[in-house]
Amino acid sequence: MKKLSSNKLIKIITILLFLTLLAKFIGVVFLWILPSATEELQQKNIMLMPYRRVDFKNLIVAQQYHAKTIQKRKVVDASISDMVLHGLYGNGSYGYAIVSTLANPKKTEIISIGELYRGYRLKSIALNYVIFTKNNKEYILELDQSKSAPDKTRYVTPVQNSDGEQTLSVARKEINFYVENPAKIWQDISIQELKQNGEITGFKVTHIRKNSKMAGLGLKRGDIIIKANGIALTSYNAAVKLYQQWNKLESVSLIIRRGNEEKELIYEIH
Amino acid sequence: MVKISKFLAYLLFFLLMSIVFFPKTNLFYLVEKELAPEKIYISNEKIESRPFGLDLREASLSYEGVQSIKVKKAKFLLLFFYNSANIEDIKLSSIIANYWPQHIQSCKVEYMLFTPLMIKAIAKGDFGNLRAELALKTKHLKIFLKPSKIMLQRYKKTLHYFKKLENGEYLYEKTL
Repeated sequence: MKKLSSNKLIKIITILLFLTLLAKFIGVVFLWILPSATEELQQKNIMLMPYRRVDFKNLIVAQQYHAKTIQKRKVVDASISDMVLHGLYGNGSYGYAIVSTLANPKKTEIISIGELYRGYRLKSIALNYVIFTKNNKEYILELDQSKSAPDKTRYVTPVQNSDGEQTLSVARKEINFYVENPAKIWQDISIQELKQNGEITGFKVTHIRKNSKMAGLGLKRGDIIIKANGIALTSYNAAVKLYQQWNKLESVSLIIRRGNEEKELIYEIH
Repeated sequence: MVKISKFLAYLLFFLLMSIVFFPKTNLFYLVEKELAPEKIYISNEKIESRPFGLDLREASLSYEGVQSIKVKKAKFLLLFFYNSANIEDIKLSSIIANYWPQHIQSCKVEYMLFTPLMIKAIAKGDFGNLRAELALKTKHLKIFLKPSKIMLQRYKKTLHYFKKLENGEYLYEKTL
């Protein structure tokens, strides 16, 4: 009796072992058939080229005047009111000042006592101003407080360029605010894709919150955004790629259709 | 009768062993390969194979090169007669936030052998509660949504695509 049950048990174990081996064999066959590597997303051209606006009209004009103007490119005396004092170090007749012109505030120069800057000689340094002299007259240039003072300026400032074209100067921190809080974008603005024959032709602004940062960008309800930085917005992909680069761009150009006319909105991000 | 029971027991054992030894990670790679022509990619995922399933962590799903969904954890249970996917902590892309709340707490997708032509899903998130059914034969999709306050207040235009039912739920139907 014992022998019989033992035989039965061995038979069951043998069958189970055989089934296990068969399952393993099938597993190995599938391992051989199935792909052995993951499909990775190839990020082709994900980086947008830096956008540069080129006005060919200006290019021609610039070429015409190039010969004449090149000889005049000397350091021209500036008015003291056209100068900005960014920083100072020292006291009295010792130290230096960091100055620039209003027209080109990023191009700063370090001037020591006695040195000339745009026709003005640095005479002395006080606590929050410096004294320049020119033609035996003294001029006081006060330290620019605008950076340390609380920012009361508008985040979008209209700037008229030489052609009379209006660009909007946008503070980068405002861009970063939207990048860090994407949900805020959709509280301030709603857009909807516009389709023609199943293809996206642009994005329509269906709502824009009054007095919001978005409203300050000059967009209006009903505007259809068709191009951004020269790229036609014919897919979400194009729009999202621009959005992903948003905080790295120096300027953005939007071509919008407002009513029957096309308009270009240009933003300089600083 | 005893013979049939024995046969079924052996069959069940064989099925379980087949699942245990099946290369589930490679099966996942096959799914990825099939999705690639549709421009759907799953990336950055950490895969862990278990005897009866597969775990995915920190996966990102991209569509047309745009990162659309981030998943913290997904557990797949593969038992042949009962298959499910438990997905937790799903974050949709900010671009989708215009149409749908970004955070989905959990989503469970089930496929059973007893209902071979139906895939069912339930999900919970900032949008409220949702259950969906996909009839595989007719490719008819039904989504029943119990919207949250956020959904009702901020995503009215999305709800326009749904039909309001008498029980307060919203129904979306589409044949794929």
